[in-house]
Amino acid sequence: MSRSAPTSRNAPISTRQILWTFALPVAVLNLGAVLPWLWRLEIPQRVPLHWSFDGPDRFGSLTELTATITIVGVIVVVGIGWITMVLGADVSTRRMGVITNTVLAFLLASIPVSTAHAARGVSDPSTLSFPSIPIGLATVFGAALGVALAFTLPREPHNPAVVLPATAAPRVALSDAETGVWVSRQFAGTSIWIAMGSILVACALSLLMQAWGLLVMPALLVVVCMTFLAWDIRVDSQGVTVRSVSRLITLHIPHEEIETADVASVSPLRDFGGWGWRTGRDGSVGLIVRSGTALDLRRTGGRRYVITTHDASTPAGLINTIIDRERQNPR
Amino acid sequence: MLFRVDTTSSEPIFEQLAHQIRIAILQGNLAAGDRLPPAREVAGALDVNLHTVLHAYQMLRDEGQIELRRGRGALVSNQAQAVPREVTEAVAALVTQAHQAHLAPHIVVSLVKEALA
Repeated sequence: MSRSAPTSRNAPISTRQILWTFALPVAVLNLGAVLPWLWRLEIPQRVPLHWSFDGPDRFGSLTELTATITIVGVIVVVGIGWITMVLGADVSTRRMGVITNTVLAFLLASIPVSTAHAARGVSDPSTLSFPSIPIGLATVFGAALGVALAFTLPREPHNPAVVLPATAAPRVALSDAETGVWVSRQFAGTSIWIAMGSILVACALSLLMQAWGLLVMPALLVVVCMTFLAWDIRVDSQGVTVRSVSRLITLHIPHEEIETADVASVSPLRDFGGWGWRTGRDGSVGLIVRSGTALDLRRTGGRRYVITTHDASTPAGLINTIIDRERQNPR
Repeated sequence: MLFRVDTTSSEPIFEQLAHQIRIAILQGNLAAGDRLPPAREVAGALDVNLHTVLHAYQMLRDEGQIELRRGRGALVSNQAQAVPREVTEAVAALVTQAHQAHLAPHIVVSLVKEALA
């Protein structure tokens, strides 16, 4: 049987999604610009804009401090929001957008706020030290709030597929009496080295600047690597389950909602702009740990998942074989 | 790695699983140092008893194909060796020829046993 056209996107954009993805982060960023202005009479004419290991090394007006960060922040937040909410057909992508934007907004807004707050009543701004602890705390708070808000987004409605997988897609030889499962742990080559490098640089910067609050960054990076760069993938009679090794994230795609499974070839930078949990140009969810073959799942509602793995034709074949069996002989 | 279980087969499930892992090692799909999935995960996915999977793993350990290490799970042993590609290809060619000649599997096995004796 040939595949029919994919069903229409099944995840309409809700008011809550717009609020958490755009409105709240933009409001927080604006607060980061407004609060320092409320204190403008108490702070010196020149405030630190840039820091070296010995303290502030470049100074400017309050406008320079607040405007640059706020404008860049709003552009980035709107860009991420557009990619994850407008292109992203899957609720997991939209949740990632909410988390990323909330963390970014709190991180960026905390820089002018904490700098201006530290400068209140100070006559010589060169004596100020980098406000790493409030920035670290704001980032952690943003991450926690982002996760909490992300999970208020509703799950997608059940949307069963009716078509059979593409005839040209892989199959495995599995008799009717046989049960098949495929399990594999995937972790990265190149991306692990990049992540380790980033963690070491973040540690070194914190130590050299004696900015202890910034140690939260390498700690967060370790959790992020365990969560986004190492995955346990399982295909069984229920569907496809992908769990991060840290067990913080689980993605389950039931067989009933899969239209077809195939093999794709992935170049992380070209196709997904990097490694980890990514969003592709077509809004697909990418669980990308290396270049090469990937399991390419088409789900109802125009959703697509690309999961890098060795020997992708075996899990793709098993999924298609199980779907063929279930849809041709419904229980 | 793909595991398959036929509950209607007369071959015990632990032997079916051990056979599949053994073949994966012999064909070079699993190399020395590769980690096998945790027995609990395989048992859960296949909906079979945990001890059935552990039995298969222990059987392979006794054969020297895998090593079971506390806290590190099941690893393909350094002694486990893939069959040279030429041998795999020769076996595939033999099977093709046997099919063309309509020979039953037990006849082919008898011929190979005789040749090896």
